[in-house]
Amino acid sequence: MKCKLLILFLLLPLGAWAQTYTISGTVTDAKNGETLIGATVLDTRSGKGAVTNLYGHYSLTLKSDSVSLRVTFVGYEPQYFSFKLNANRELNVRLRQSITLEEVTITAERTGDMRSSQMSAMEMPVEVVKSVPVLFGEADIIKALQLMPGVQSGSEGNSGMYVRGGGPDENLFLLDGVPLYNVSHMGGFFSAFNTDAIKNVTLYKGSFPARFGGRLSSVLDVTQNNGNDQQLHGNASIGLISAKFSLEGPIVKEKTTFSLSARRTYAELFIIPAVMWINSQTNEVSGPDVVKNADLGAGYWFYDLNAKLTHKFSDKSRLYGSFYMGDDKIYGSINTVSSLGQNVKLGFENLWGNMVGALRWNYELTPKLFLNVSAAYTQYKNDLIGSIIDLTSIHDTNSTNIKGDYASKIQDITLRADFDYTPSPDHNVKFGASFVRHIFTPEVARSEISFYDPVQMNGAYRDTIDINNGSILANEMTAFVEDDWSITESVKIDYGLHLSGFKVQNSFYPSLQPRLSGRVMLTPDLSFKAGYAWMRQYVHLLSTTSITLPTDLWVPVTDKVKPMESHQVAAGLFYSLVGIADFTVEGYYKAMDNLIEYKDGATYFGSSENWENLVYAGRGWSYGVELLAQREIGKFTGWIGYTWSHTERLFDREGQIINDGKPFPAKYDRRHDLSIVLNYKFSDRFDVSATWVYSTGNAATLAKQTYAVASEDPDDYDNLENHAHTGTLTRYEGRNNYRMPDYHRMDLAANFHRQFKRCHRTINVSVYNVYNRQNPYMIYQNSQVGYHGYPSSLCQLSIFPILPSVAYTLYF
Amino acid sequence: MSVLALLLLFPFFSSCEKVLDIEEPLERDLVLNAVPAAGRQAFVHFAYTRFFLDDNNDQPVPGAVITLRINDTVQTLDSMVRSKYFFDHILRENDSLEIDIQADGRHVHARTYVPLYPVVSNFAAAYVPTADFNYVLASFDLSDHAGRDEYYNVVVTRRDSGVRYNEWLERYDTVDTVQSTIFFVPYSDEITSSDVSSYSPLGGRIMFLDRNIDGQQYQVPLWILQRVDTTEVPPFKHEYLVEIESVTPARFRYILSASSQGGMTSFFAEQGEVYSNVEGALGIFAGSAKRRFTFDPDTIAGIPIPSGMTPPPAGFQLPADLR
Repeated sequence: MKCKLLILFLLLPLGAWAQTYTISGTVTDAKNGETLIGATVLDTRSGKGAVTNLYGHYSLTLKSDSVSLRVTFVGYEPQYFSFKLNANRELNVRLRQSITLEEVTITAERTGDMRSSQMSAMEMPVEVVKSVPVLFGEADIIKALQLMPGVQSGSEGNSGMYVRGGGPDENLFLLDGVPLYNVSHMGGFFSAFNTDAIKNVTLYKGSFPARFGGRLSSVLDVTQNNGNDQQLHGNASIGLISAKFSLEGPIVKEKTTFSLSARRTYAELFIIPAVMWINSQTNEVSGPDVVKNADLGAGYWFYDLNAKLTHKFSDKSRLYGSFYMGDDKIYGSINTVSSLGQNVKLGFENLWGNMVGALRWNYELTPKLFLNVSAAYTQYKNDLIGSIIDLTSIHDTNSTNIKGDYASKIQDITLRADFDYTPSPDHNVKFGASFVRHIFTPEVARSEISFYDPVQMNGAYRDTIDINNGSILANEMTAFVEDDWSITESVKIDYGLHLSGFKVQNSFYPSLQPRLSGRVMLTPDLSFKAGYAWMRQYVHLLSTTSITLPTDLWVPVTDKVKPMESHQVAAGLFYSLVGIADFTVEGYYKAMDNLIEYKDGATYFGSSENWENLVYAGRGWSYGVELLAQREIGKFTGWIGYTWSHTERLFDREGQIINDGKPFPAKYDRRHDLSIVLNYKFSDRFDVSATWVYSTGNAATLAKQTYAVASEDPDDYDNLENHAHTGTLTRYEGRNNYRMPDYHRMDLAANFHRQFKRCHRTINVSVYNVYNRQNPYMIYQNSQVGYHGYPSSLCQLSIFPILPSVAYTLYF
Repeated sequence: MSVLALLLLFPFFSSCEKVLDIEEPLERDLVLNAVPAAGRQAFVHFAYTRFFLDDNNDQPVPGAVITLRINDTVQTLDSMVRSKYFFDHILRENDSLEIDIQADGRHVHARTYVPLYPVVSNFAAAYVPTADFNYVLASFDLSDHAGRDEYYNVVVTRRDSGVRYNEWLERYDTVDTVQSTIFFVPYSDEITSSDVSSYSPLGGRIMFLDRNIDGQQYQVPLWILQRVDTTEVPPFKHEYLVEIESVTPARFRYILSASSQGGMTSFFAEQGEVYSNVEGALGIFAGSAKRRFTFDPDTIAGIPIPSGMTPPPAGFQLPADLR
């Protein structure tokens, strides 16, 4: 009976209506043909409207009557259409960008804004991302999002995201709908998203729409540019450590377009002279304890390549092909010649990166029904190689060669079909299904050793050891249905179901996750929203650090390790002071289950073997309040975001006890997190921006007391450091019992623009950490420096002092 | 150009160190460590914990009064030597012990017993050259006490003394390592497959219960892998020490948890709590009965495997973490 009621409830929007006709089409930018996501098409007579989807498509069904349409989008001049609606009609609209944004009345309903039924979500315009002062002058989506309430950064300069108490593996990063598993470059100092290739960024922190699933804490939906369908355009940018180039344009005007963006670092240019200097220094030093004649080599680079091809078969049919590839490589070597004539060469290299390819086809089946089918492939791989080559040894006949190669990979092949069905202006139904084939190859390792030893081995010796734990195959099936339903003018809900199943080893994990989000307009300027989401996650990231490392491994749930789950409720008030600012206050509570933590003393470093035995399962919770005051129009823009939150873990299951079965703060628990972002546009030629961030220090485990290991030999207590049976133990005072010093920092940036005849240029000058705050990156016991009469001290390491940078960008 | 690049590079990769203020704990914890061992004089080590920045191992508790009951004999001590309190009693198997301490306004209490000696026979060691590497194979027979829960701790250590040449640092070092743990591999499923066993190759230790071998004559064969990272200058002395210890359940749990904390091989591992059976203090009060066997591999070099010693099974693989 309950099931029948549920089906009836979901089919409510499919009921019959009076004589109606449907207006459908696409809203695009008049200048470049880019589809506009979230544009509003409103019939001002009836007050009914529709919002464009991810592909700029809308569908508005109205009664047969005279209609007066207003099409709006933030930053664009509205367009008006009046006609008699007596048949289905296709209306494609091209909006022009507004010159005077401050005078435009914003009526568009964007994801997460006051009028939307969606809460705990935000859109971040790429222009905003580019205006925020950043490290090394490199604009970064994730670092800009870290300035929003509810989103926290990890350690200094890190592009990891910690959303509402969730870990870095609990975020789903989608690039054109395809998951990216590792979004970090350079150990997390940059993200994989090149802002020049990006059109739209939406972050969901809670109240997730039913179409999303697979992660507990957030969904970051990033859409790449389709490409200009009118003219060839592009930009080239050169910064302190990287250069970028983008080109987009029509292949066939208004039919086929392309967009291409590439980014490459040139940190080697700085590293090479540093290495030369080190080599020159070591060559001059001699002595029995110093390596002489060292020949050091080192380097690092990363690149990104984004490409997209779009073809319009007709106004109803479009094909998109998108591609992303990004790799990092760090390498080093040292050649030494010892005083005995030995040549020894040590080397390592680490190559890691993502590759994503997707083919997508849109088709308007009927004016009310829009289809999107896609096939996608995503891959993340890591390859670490180390070698020791002893070219000539002491006896001049021996030579040794040791080489180790460690690799891991995860691959997904996805097939997906989504439908947008708009039976009436009051309902926007989305439904679809997908199938994902996961191929996890967490560890493939090979070590080779070869040497020539005439004395002991009577000749040459060679041995190869392979470790291959094989691939783990898993199938993930999902289906969803959701309806954005305007019940009355003031009440609107988005409700849905997300069905998923994960088959791995001998286990099948099915799940039916309800989602609900709704808003009530209390006054024309004030709305109340509430939402609930049940999420489930079938993959874990094995990592023991708070920073993102390429060696972190994605592994699936297993027969033993169950899927993680979360239940999140949120409620908030949204107030819009028209023409001045928007204000938001949101509270949330998130309960999480089957979280994993390393058991005491266990760590993961390079071996996925038996990882299930190294972790315990437990639960956690996070709750907090987020405040946001944001001004988006006018010369003076920016926002102030503040988060107060608590995030704790509890591992008290039998045989899986951590912290004596008592709750402990999560690694990323922070009580206060404040961000102030201010931009001021003096003129079309000059604007400035400033940010200031403050957050409570990171949690860490620190034992302040030690004591001797018990022994049956009384002499051992006097000789603690030099006996196999003895030593010292630490007094366990609780996991994450210590708080590092608070974090705060100010950054400034200025942009100088100049318009030339055929192009314009921007010079960005920014200063990171203006007042040179020594923020903690990590803490450690330092036996070289004393403290208040003690021979050692507790020290913090800070990595980024004041850092000026400059970037030059030419748009053509 | 290079100078300019270096100047630009410097701030990016420079690090800053800063000494942090840290509060000392207002009240230190008490630590009672006592491993009453068969055949040894009874003593306890009783001290405060040490502030982690301090390097002074001796943290005595002034005025502590310690009362130890061994079977029906009671002895009270208030004097110590470097936090060690010695009692006039040589411990024997099956001795029952109870301790009470009044110190610093706190009361500490614990009890334990001395377990039976492990019944060890046929201890032998052999030098085993193989196609790949050279090993020392140590083996002993273990006859446990049928019907009793026995807890075993086997530790293999090595004492080195002499002069060796460090090829990496290109220098001669005088070595007098009192004892150091060494690699060894038990190739026996019966003891390592137990869910309560613990095998720590880096810590040179294996711990197991006798539940899989209860009442049987059982041979424990160990491969001891020789590390060759330096050149030893003759005469260089090696001495291997194999200790086979019968322990109380409390000491078993204590060693397991202490190994997990002390055996951390990564900076990133989370520290864990070490088991304690002492009321009012940290530490352990748990009995032990130990057999020790020493041998010098130089004297057994080239000796074939004695009869009765099981060679490694065909296809035997080193554990992944030792490959």
